[in-house]
Amino acid sequence: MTVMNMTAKLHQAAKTAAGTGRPQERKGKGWAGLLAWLLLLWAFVFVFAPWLQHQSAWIRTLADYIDSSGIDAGAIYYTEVDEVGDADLMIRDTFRFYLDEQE
Amino acid sequence: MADNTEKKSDASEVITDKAEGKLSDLWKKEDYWAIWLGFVLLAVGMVIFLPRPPEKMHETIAAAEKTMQEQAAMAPFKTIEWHKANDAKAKIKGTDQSYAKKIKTFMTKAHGWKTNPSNAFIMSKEEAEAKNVAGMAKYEAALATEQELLTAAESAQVTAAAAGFQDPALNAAAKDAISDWRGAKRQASGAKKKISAKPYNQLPYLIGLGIVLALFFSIGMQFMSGSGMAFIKAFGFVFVIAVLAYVMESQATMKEYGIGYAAWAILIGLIISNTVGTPKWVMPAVQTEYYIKTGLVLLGAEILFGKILSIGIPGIFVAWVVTPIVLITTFIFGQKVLKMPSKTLNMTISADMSVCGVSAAIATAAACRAKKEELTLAIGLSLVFTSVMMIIMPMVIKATGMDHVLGGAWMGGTIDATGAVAAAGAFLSERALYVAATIKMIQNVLIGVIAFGVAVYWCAKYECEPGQRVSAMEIWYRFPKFVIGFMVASIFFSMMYGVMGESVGYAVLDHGVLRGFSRLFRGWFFCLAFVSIGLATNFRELKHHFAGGKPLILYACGQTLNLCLTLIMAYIMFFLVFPEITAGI
Repeated sequence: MTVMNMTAKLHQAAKTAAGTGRPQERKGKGWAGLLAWLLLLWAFVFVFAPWLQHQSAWIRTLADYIDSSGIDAGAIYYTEVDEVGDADLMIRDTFRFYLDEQE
Repeated sequence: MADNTEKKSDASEVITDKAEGKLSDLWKKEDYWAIWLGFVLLAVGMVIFLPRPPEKMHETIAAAEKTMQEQAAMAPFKTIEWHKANDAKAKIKGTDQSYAKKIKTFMTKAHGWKTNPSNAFIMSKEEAEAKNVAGMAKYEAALATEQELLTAAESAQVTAAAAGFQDPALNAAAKDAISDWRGAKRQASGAKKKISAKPYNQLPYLIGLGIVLALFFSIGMQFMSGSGMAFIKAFGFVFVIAVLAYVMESQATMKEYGIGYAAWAILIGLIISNTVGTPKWVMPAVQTEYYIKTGLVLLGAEILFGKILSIGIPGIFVAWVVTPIVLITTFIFGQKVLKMPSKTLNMTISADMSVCGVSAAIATAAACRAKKEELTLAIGLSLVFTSVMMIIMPMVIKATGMDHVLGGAWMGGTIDATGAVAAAGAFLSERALYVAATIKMIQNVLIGVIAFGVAVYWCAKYECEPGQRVSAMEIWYRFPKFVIGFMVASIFFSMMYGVMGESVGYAVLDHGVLRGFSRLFRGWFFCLAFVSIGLATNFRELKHHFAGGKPLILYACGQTLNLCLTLIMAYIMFFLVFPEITAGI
């Protein structure tokens, strides 16, 4: 079953759960939908995502680098990334002691 | 969106203020409660961190700067001693103090894990030891490489010094060798973290934090609607999903892709609401705007305007000239060419694509009162493009042999999320990291101006009938008041940073009150907001907003323009106008 087909079926299950029908039946389909989604998430995290990393040497190398360096690649703002603080200090001191001195 | 003539059916989905003001608004409206709660947290952070600066802070900074001064006078490039002094200065942080570490332990979301999710909360002594043993070989190899490259760098520097630092070829060779050593040092430092695992049990802290946050937000809920108790009862459900989102973010492979808590919080919430349904008793704690606005007031304090000069004029042009041009052009393109059905969706996507992804999307969506589904779409697009660009851009830069200063500026100006920018930059080289991260940081600061500008523009232009002139008082009544708190926090902390000076500000404000306290709360607040969005959103509503794939086309076209303009501007600034800056970095 392709991922697209599976997603379409999950949507259908969710639609049915929200639609009309006997409450008991709706409840059952809702839980089935939840279970199916959890299965899909598990497959994404533990099967598809690692598999994709092994399809490209470049992606694998980058992933290994992120893992070993400990950089938080999912951070959304500069205050969440230690490396940005270090970079800021380094660049400021570069300007202060080298570039501004030349002016 | 927030038009006063808007139908009632939309009213529950957007942030609405009636065009009138009352004194009771101060304790009856969530905009004001966001300000009060945000300010209380910032005040507590200042009380904790400002009177307790790191020990011997001034002496260490003075000694480090003296060494850097001497080294700069001696050699035309940053010597090994200069870097070591800079490292010593960087270690002076409020966040490294024992009280700050206790706060961090209490606020920690979830620990990293690979296959066993329970490691997100608990790790036994045996497991910690096994983890340390497993990482030892890698650490020893990284340490040996660092030592080897340090020896090579020392040798190159001695050779350059023997020529009185007058030989450009020898100077360049020494600079390159030092750069290689710095890269290896970063890797060794990362590997060291892998052998420093200690046993932990995060569950009691998480329960405590959940109770603290429930009580904290319930005060406002009680004043606003008298539903403080209902909120407390419901909050546990929302908090547990927020914890789950952080657990998913902490999974090793997801970390490598940069898939953060925002995506997981929305997705888990969506799955629950669209399968078994969000329980009715949970709804009192599904308070998207309340959490977002409080988080944004805290985010305001992190917008330090003094940072925009970090990399001089080139940084201003790449981050503060190109970005607004791309934002406005994309918005006009969306309105005139794509004919986007929703102006707020258009603005939210334009801002998150051109400025800095999720954080810009949150700030802009709140400022223009976008619907929660629109914010979800904008964030989803940003996360997908960020992951792809984080992989492809370093590849292109390496394949084309592009200079890493230019490549760093290009990535910093275009990849949405800051974490992904740092990862892609560091992967290339130290130079690429410094430039990419600094450009991104300057762009981050821009969201203060963008959010304020969008809020004013929306009140004055879009929330009125065609041809209607809006008085200043009317604009004030309609203005989303939490933006005032956001701006006040930003201006206040920017002034404090300026008064303290860069070095002290870095140690006690940036790496104290902000990174050590307010941003920890802000992260949780945004996560709770994303969970709330998911729990209150229907797949069908999302599908409706994605009609015709216009949001995707808008993002792709805007990002293409962004990529072209940023590259051209970075080239002009770093190679034609200021080549000496490029050479000096």
